[in-house]
Amino acid sequence: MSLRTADKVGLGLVAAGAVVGLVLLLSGKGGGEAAGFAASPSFLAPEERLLHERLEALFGAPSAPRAPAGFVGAGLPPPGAEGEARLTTGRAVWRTQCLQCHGPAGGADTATAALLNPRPRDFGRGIVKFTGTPAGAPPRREDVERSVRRGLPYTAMNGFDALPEAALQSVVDFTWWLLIRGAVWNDARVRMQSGAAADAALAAAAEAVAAAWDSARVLRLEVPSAPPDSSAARARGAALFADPLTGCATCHAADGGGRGPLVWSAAEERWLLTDAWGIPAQPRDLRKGQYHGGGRPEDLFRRVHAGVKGTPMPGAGARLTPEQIWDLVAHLRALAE
Amino acid sequence: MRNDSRAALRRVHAAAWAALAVTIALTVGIGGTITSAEVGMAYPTWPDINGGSLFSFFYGELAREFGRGSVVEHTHRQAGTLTGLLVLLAALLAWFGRAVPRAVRLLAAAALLATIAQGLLGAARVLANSYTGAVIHAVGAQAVVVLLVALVKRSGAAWSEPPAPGTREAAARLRAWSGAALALLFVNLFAAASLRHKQGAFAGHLTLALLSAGVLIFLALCVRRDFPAAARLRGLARRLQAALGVQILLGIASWLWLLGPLAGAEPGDRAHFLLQAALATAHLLCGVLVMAAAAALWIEARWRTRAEQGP
Repeated sequence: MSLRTADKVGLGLVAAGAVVGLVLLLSGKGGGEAAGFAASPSFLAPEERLLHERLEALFGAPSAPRAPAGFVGAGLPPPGAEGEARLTTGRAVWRTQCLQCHGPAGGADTATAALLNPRPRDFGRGIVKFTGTPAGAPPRREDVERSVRRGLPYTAMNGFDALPEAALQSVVDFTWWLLIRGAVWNDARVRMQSGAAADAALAAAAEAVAAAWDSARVLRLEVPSAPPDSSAARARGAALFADPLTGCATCHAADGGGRGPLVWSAAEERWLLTDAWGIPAQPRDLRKGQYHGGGRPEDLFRRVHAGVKGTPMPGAGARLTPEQIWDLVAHLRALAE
Repeated sequence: MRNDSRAALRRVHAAAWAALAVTIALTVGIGGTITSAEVGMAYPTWPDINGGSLFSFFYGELAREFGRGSVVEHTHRQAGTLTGLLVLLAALLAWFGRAVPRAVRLLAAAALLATIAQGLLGAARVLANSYTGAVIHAVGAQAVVVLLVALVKRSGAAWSEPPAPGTREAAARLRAWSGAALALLFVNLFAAASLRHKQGAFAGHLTLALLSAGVLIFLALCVRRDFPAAARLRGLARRLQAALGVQILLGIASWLWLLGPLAGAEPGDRAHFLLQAALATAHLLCGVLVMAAAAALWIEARWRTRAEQGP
């Protein structure tokens, strides 16, 4: 059965049109980003707009990041073309791998973020929850790299170890840049609230953050060898857990279920505390043994020692000896059995 | 055809219809909602849900523990399982039914294999957290739909009715253009999925959508002009036109609210987000109906037309 010439020409034109459509589709790869549902223009108070302009002059914008001077010690790429190229590459990886949850500027302001529990991290606060540094200290770049590489268990944060190493390092660079930029922004806002002018507040904040984050590089929390698990250690850990001086049970509840009297109102059925992001703080149900920061004994040791930053969970490293912390870890492991 | 063969075919037909309805209304519909709400990674695990069971129906508890997005992803997996079970039923009925035609058996087997492959693709998309995998998964869903449409048509009673009469030239044109339309719809579907998963540009999808619409309109006109006595064929063309009309309107609305001048929203504008998600999902669902109608028309043209007059 043969076709008329007109039909053959028509079908040829359709095929050519399809090729044109595919070329247009692939040549503008990434253009679909505008379809994100959580378009979030910045609604800053008038007095903060100047500070924001100054911040962008120093760091650039998330759409065009710049490595500022003075932050190489804190782990940012060096200023200039090389550093900018690293951040730009990181941003390109971010757009394909991270944007869906963490948003174009790391603010976790996407529809995905609103629908997930736990909510993806908003890097604008400059806080990392799970770090290898002591309580009160800034994070280290390795903390972010570990989360990107391995993911966070029992959350929607997958591990990206399968990415090419260069891509992984570049996206860690970009995330680190977002965190430091967020830390400077928040520090400067606090200084402005104390009466400082925008320029002075930003300069002081940048200097303070650069120094603190630089010094954190050597503040690695060393985890001593774990003693053998024993019923005696578990019993000592249970006693410490219930002791009002440690305060564990006031949040995690005596049974470890996570609804202690300090954080949960049974009458109103609501959480009473919030974290640094304004999200209700829900202590872990320790009976499940599902830890977002890792469930290995050394992970739990760090968690008890340094706390979970940005949340009401304090670090106990200054109040308890390493042996006592290991006892608590033994009790935590017993609760999950 | 013997009575026992007719009865077996009726059972296969009913199972295939059920599978097609569940696939479009639930599996694809919820799957589209996943992308509209961007919650494809609500659970990075598969087949379990962060250690929980695929067969958990405690949606409120899941929403509290893992967020509302987790329920959307979870029910999509459950709907996909239901699709799989219904396609498996159709395949079993086809292979173990008495005197079921070989073509029906092969189609049922193909639909089953495609459904299994599609499930594994969905798993790979999640486990690898891959946008490319998500695009392939979206295209695979439509391939399953087309196979189920073929199974529904081939096992239906209408298949034994006389083919639609037309000139040799008209039959050749219809076959060529309906095949081209179906192929073009798949290419456009790839473009749409790429756009939704941030892997492609809008200009590509727009070009292919306009081209597809033009070809489908031409196809419907060909049916009206060349097959005046073919009621079944003309009915299919009418349904295709209706679905295409709605799809064009939904496409314009989707552009306006998702990409165009009405796309902006203040943070926390929940109603705006819901409208955007609803439009995107409706556009996707209507696209599936266009694809199903075009597939049905192509099958009719390929196997159910008869060249009996003219050159």
